[in-house]
Amino acid sequence: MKLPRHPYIMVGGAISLLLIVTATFAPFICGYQPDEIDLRARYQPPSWQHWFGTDEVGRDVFSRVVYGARISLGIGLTTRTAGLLIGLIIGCLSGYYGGKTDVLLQRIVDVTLAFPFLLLVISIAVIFTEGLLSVFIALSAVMWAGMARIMRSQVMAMKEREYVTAIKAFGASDWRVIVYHILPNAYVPALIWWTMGLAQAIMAEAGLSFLGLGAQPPTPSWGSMIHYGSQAIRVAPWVSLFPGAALAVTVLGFNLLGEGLRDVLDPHYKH
Amino acid sequence: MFTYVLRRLLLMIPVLWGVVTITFFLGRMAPGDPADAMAGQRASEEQRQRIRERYGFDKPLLVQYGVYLLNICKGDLGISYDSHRPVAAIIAERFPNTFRLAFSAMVVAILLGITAGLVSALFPNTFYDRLAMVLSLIGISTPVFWLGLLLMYFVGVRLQWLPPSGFGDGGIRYLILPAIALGTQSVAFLARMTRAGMLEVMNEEYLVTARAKGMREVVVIFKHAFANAVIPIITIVGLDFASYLSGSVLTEKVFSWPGLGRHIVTAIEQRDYPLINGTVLFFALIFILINLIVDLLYAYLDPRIRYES
Repeated sequence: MKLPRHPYIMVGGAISLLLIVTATFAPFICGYQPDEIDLRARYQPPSWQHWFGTDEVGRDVFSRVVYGARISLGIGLTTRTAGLLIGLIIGCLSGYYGGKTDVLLQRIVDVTLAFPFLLLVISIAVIFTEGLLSVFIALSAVMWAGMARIMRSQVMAMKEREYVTAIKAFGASDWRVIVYHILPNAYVPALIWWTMGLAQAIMAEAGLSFLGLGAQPPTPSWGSMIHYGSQAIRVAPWVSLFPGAALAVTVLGFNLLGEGLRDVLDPHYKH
Repeated sequence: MFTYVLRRLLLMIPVLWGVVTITFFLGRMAPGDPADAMAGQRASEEQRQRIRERYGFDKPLLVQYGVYLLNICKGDLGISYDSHRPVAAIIAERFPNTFRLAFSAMVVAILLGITAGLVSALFPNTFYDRLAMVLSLIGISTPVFWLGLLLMYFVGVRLQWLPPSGFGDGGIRYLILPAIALGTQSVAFLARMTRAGMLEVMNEEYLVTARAKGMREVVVIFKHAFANAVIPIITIVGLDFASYLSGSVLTEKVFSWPGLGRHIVTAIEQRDYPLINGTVLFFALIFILINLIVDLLYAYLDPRIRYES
């Protein structure tokens, strides 16, 4: 098994695993509740009692960073999976049926990719009520186009193979051919796409929350913690710097994992 | 080349139409009555009705869409709910600052990225090469708004080398930190692209010939190797410039830089939908235009591309 030996996969996998463990066992890791207010302990610097210090209302920054992992991971996993499903369906329809269906669907893909990513996400998120649901809808609505492109080319290549022609000759339905015979052979690019975009989704959620469009107080999202912390950066830099560091390490972890998987699984990118 | 340019221009039309259509419907999906938002809470029903008639909000959706398309062709992007000024005028006022920031970020990215990539490619698999590549991965993974805060706190507040934020007199001192924050992600990409591009051409036979002819190593590297590796790098720089323009929202917010991105943040806070959508459309058009320019430049530099397509 050569997967774990790749240094990127090892380091990226370890960081991702740490994030999953942190998110899952958050209540056991933290000594404080993330929304526990203590006005007598406002803006306390890092200490043994509060490892990452406290924020503007005396909440423990460490606990909030730990609970924030749940939001980042949750948004990353759900939006990527939603984007994967949308991209999969559109890519398969486009590649398998070709013709007018393909032209129409590909123009939709072109238009989606023609928008600057963050701005399109903002203009969708701003329509809905503030909160994580709007982030989910906006990111899922935008982050599928790349998958559709990949799937289309995979399906187009696969459907010309002899084994697919043989299955069709036996009378298999289009649905059966796609789901049971084409998709299982196209899982590698899908897996690489899914993993590589996790970092982008997590970063986008933090960006939206930083702009005030994502998670709303008191939800402990890293982006909104950085936003509120930045207002007091001169007196209490720890309030924004620690959640930012957690975000950067998480993004680095998923980037490493994605690059490692691409190196190992995709022959075009082998060093 | 002319056929290629014409083909690319024709291909742009459906994309432009799609972008404008999506922006229109996003604007119409925004919650609340636009007349209410423009007239304010204290306005009478009569005043609201007047606004609806004036801006055509009382017309059927398809008519509104037609008018919107016509207005876009005339450069009219709508009226801001908040300031009641034309969105196009606000963009024209704010865009130069965003352009300045994006251009400076590009200079930072080119200087640092290409240098790092070149040195990395010239000394492959050495300590420096590995360090540059690890640093580039860290650079790609660092959120721009957090890096901005780090620079602001350490360089601006603690060391007091540069102003931590703001526009001041518009001098270069105010531009350095935001430009570094915005350009860093591309430093990483550019370093990796330059390294990969250079390594690909470094073993080509024409370099052996150049060396055999007795050319100096500097000439071999810059005139022969780099000139051939530069084409994909130009693409990255062009696309990055487009993303700096549209992606400056976060950087401008951190550094209170008075560009279009900072204005979008205010528009988001005030739910000024015409300004948000007008700006998004404007940036999308710029994005498409820069993509086109990069494609044409690419085809100009590498004739194989225009002949193949």
